[in-house]
Amino acid sequence: MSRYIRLLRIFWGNTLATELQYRAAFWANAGLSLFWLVWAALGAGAYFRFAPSIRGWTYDELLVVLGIFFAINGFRQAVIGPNLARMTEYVRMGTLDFLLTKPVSSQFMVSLRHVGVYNWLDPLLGWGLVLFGLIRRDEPVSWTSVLAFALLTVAGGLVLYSLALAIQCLAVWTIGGEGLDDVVEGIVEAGRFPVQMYRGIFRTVLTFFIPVALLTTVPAEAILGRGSIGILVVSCSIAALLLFATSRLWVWSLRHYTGASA
Amino acid sequence: MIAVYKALLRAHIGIGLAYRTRLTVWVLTSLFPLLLMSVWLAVVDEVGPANGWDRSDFISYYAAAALLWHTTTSFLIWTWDSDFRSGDFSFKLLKPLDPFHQYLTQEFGFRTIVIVILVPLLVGITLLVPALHYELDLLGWALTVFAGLTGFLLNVVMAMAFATIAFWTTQAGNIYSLWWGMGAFLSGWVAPLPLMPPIVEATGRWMPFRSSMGFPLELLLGRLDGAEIARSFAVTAGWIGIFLLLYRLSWRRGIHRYQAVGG
Repeated sequence: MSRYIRLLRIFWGNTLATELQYRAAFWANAGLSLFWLVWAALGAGAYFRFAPSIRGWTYDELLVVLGIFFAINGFRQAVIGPNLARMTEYVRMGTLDFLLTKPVSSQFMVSLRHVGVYNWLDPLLGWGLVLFGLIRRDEPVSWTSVLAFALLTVAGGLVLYSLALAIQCLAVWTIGGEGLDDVVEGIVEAGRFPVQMYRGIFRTVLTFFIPVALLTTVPAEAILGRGSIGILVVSCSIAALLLFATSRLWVWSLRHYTGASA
Repeated sequence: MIAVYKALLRAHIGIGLAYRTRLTVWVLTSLFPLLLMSVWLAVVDEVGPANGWDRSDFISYYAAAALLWHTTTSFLIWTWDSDFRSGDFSFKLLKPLDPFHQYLTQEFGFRTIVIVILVPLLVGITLLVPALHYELDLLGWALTVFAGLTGFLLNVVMAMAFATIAFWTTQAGNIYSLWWGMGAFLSGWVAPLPLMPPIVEATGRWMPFRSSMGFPLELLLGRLDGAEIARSFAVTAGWIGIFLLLYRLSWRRGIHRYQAVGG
């Protein structure tokens, strides 16, 4: 484990060092993120011109969801996206053969090797919006809610990581997998609103098949004090299970990998 | 000139078709307008029609918005940015045809594929989903299609005008996405303009963003009278003129600064 942490520090440190040469670009992107955050918050207000609450969510509560969405979307753009985007190339160019010969876990190499630096501030901005929403709502927040929120945030991150890994497994078989990161982007994008706001088939799919609810709705409910210990346990179990299942899937799909470079 | 256009168009349609998976994924993942629609339907469930917009209005609006998004959004600025960085732009300059036409045909080529795939799909859905209703006469349909086309043209010219910023900064994507992001609120994308606060609505009607989204959509729903239609077309034409002028001016000054990075 400590070996992987050391490797991460080297890999990500290198990227950071390269990108720090373009400091203006970094701050420009941070400014852009803030701009999107403000716009998203204002835009959500359009719906509340007509109803004080939609499916049990007030504007302030929606801001909390939006903040969490921003945080997880930043994680997607920084960690998930850059690795996912390279996956097709790995398989098509045969880089994967080369990665497999490395004396470290291949799953680690394909899913965490690269990092983008432009969205590192997004989670902070997002959590800032969560705080803003909570202050505007002006109801007490207990420490247990905060703790549950922290746990569920980690669980949400793991769920997203697992989904991305499952998609990477798919790329091993199908080879042609351009636009895979767009699929993940679409999934996360659905987390912009709480699942209760969706209807019928959308809601069923987003709750049970693609667990978008775990990414934003469930953590938001926790910090708003609407969660329960049962939901917490189930959510964390699902996250752990998905992580386990997808790493098995990765090993299994490698067994069907025939190599491209040879 | 027409022969050149035909050849270029065919080439770009070919390039687009070579990436079929990419295309399917792209179509599948653009469910975003349907999510926005879903939220509006929740609002209608809660308090009844919003400003006279009922369920079927929202469904009709956003189904068509999904199609318009695919047919009129220009990704030209990203192609341009990457051409600039890879040096491919130099090759485009070498060809005996203004890059403007090369980029325009490229955009048209990709849109053609999308239309061929999406229109039959949408017509099928329209016939199957009873909530979708577009009660228009032939003239209404013709005006809608024409509005979409002019909106698309405006988007391309606007992107080209912004793209020339790259002559000075080697990158124009960020500035353009700020501009475009602002537009998402003024175009009728986030919410139909008539449902926005009056000041946003009033601003939106004079800005270039509504031309390719809110205007054709409101036309399609039969919510615009003759005077408003004429005014909207005038706004579109005005902006096309402004951006064309900006593009030509900026191009003439910028091309001397082109440094051909990469390559």
